[in-house]
Amino acid sequence: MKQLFGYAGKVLRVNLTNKKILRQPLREDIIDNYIGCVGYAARVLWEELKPGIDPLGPQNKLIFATGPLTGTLCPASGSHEICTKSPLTGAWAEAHSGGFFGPKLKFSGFDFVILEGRAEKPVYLWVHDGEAEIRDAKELWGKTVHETTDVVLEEIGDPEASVACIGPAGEKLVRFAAVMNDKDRAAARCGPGAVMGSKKIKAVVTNGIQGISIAQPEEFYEAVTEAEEALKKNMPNVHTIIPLGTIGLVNIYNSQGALPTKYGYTGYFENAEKFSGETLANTFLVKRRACFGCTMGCGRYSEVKSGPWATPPHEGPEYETAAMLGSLCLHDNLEAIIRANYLCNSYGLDTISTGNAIAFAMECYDKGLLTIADTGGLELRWGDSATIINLIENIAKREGVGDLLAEGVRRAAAKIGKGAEELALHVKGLEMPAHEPRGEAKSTALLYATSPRGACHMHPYWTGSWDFNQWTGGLLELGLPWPAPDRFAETGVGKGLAVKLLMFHGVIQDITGVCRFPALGKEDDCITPKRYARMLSALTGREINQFELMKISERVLNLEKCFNVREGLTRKDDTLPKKMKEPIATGPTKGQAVTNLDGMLDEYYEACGWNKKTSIPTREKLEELGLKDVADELAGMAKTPKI
Amino acid sequence: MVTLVKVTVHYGHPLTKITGKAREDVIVKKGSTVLFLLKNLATKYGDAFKDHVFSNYERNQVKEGTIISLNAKYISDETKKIKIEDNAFIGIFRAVGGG
Repeated sequence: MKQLFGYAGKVLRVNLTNKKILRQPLREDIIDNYIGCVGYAARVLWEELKPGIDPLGPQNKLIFATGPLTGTLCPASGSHEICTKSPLTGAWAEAHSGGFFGPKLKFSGFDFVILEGRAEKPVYLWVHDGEAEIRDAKELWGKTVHETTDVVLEEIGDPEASVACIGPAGEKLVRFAAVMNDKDRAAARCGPGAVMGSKKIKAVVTNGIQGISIAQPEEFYEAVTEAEEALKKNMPNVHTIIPLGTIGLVNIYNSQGALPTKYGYTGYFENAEKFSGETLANTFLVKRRACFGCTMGCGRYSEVKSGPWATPPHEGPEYETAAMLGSLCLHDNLEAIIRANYLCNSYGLDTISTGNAIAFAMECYDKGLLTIADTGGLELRWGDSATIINLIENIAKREGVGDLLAEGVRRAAAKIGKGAEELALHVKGLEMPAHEPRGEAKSTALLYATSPRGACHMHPYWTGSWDFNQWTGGLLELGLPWPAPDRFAETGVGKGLAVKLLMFHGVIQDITGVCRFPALGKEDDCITPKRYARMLSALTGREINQFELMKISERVLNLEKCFNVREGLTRKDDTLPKKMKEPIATGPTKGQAVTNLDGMLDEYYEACGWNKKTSIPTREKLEELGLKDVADELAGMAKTPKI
Repeated sequence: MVTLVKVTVHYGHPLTKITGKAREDVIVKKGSTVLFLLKNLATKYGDAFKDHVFSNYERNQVKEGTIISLNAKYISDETKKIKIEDNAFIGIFRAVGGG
């Protein structure tokens, strides 16, 4: 096999049922057509998962994935992704995380770890220096993420290793359980922690000293320097993200009527300042934190030293966490938000889905759909810190009403009935995050409706960067409509085409294995597709330009879409919660609603080359992308509408 | 008779640091333009505010990258002609991304 520059070169495949461990070479056909990380994982899961399998059954597989740029000098290269079939949505799942796990996995000699089957008893996997061993985790089962990390690092005798593990929430199969790494970094969306729990694997631990070979070192260094120089000019980073972290968005989003408040009631919260980035910086912030190879350092490290919400030092809270456990619940107590964040991290919970589920429960209680008899005596009051903390405990342990909420809001609403389905904020079963689409931008609404993993602001890319922030992301030469139209406009202004291109741009980070943040900006101050292509070419020795890279992104996004089609999802699943079609009640965006989602969807499908009626990629489009086998398989499925 | 209107002004970082607040209610004469309000605020908060918001204060030019919004509509290029209505929301911030 030829040397693959930029890659560790091996896949670790672990069957937990029979404890068989295989070290396999990377498949060059996948590398050529999908690059790596999410692209590689998407192809493997397409080929190896049968449609309709139980995501929590042994037939499901879970892939820890890195890309060629992971662990290199490329800015913000400390990423990894976890790909699987989601137990929350039943659809395509990818969960991204930063920290140090991804680079250390590559340094251990592996680009991917594929977990299969189900262990008979709790185990953990120790991956190091080209080797892997399955170890007993009986003593770890039941421990929190922080406890598990400390115990494992001591047991293996390598304090520099990186631990990706689940907490009690994953063990209890909470459908939005996270896989936490380096204690407080989360691959959280879509419930990969529950898949690990179902396989009875508590942790994957990794370290090593294998280097990453670079095809053209000098050219790579120059390309990295160019990217770094661009990022230095990125004023949003300089002005907000670096000094305040992502939680610095709270005041800005509130000023724009885009801070989700009281579970879909409004985008404006009078008390937002109390839990803003500015307030955190002046009170409980200990220091900043950065992931591997990052010059931005958006992470916060906070502590509440005393009082009812005393919390040890740990990483966070992020904007999403603060808004979901804050304004969404009409809650403004920063100390309690920090405590809530710590508990979610300790138990291994997605803070977005957790906050969404709690606010959903509060609204159900407020409207009489849940009573004190249903909650086991717990009053679910808007804005009450104790309610939030208690519900986090209950969800993680599946106790009381927490057992219901641990199923995610779609399933919980169906079980409650009485109209609760119309209250729940999700798309495809994934709980909506903290970018209120009616207030932020209608591109965000379209993104929420069409993202393969469900309601998400960052997957594959934050489209609001275009019509909310008026940024290009370096996509002008690739056909991005410019200038960006009014953020509240819906059809006739190029939003379908723009969302498509922005999504492809995001997939570049997903397949090369890096953080999304440096890709957000203008032509001269972010890492554009052209800059990624330059770095990738020098790293791997394979000449690739931005147009070719975008085409590969398109292939990957189409494959993710087809994964969902194969699971039975069609246009009817590309939708928004009923509340998003109703007007925001107060604040600067009062009256804003999504009025023509169907029109935006038509424009998006047309731009993508997909069938407008079904949303399924056409055979012509799939064959153009080299996905004839995918088209054939879909065409052969009895359940699938004709493509 | 002079009619007064109330406007709620929201600041993004680093204006939160410069002004010492994230939000304030300001009373102005009915019919005042957004530019008039911005200049009043620049007088109140000094050069740091002025430098952050204006590229050319005398020529009334808002700095590129600074977004001025009125009820969530971006009006950075129209501050001179747009008049403030009662209970309006003004936002002054720099675009920022992420989540």
